[in-house]
Amino acid sequence: MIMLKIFLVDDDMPTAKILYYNLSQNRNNDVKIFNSGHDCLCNMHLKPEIITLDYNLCGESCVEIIDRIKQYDKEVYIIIISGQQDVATAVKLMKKGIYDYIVKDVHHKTALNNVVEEIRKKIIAERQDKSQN
Amino acid sequence: MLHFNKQKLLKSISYNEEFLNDLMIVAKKSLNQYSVDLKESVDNKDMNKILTHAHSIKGMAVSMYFERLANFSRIVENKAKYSVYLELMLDLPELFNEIDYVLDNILKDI
Repeated sequence: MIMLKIFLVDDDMPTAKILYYNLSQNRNNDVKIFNSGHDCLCNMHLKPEIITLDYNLCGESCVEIIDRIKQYDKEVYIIIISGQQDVATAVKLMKKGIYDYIVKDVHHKTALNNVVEEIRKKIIAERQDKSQN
Repeated sequence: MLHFNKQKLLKSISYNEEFLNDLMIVAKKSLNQYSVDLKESVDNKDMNKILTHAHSIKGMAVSMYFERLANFSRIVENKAKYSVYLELMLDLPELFNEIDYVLDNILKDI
């Protein structure tokens, strides 16, 4: 098992705290909360493996934040958490290079945990490949 | 549909009562602010801001299992999204009543 550094970006504190609590139940997750895309970008030097981003961050463009994150680190896995079940938006963001799009409903905490575990497996496999080559 | 499905929220946080109390404090602060912001955007008839604030309330309500609040904010959000102003005005009182209910009953002693 490897430790994953996860940035959780959400301007709604109750939602952020619940997601933080759920992700932190796994001791191999090092989770940090940021209330804005700007704060997240200012901390990219901490090299997160995963960033979860609320689609409707107050006053900020999600697409612009994704672009700037990818400029800094194109390998980082971005997961969008959105209150909108909007296929067109999901497709547009997938083309921008996000890893997954989760709709904020009663199942989104489980969905997020599942996606994080899926990414952990991918990262382990990638690191094994690199060490063998 | 419940005003507050406490059992579901507790289950989602492994029945951690201390964390529940912490969450309720944060939820009260957030909901008070969202309520002020929504009232201001309604007074200004600013549909974009009504949409934004209804969306924020919905997100918080879904996370906290304030089921009726999530439902009413979803209705207002959809009306604001499609700029159905007259229908939106008819639905807003129910949303504000539910916000007041949550603040005055569920979050009262927090």
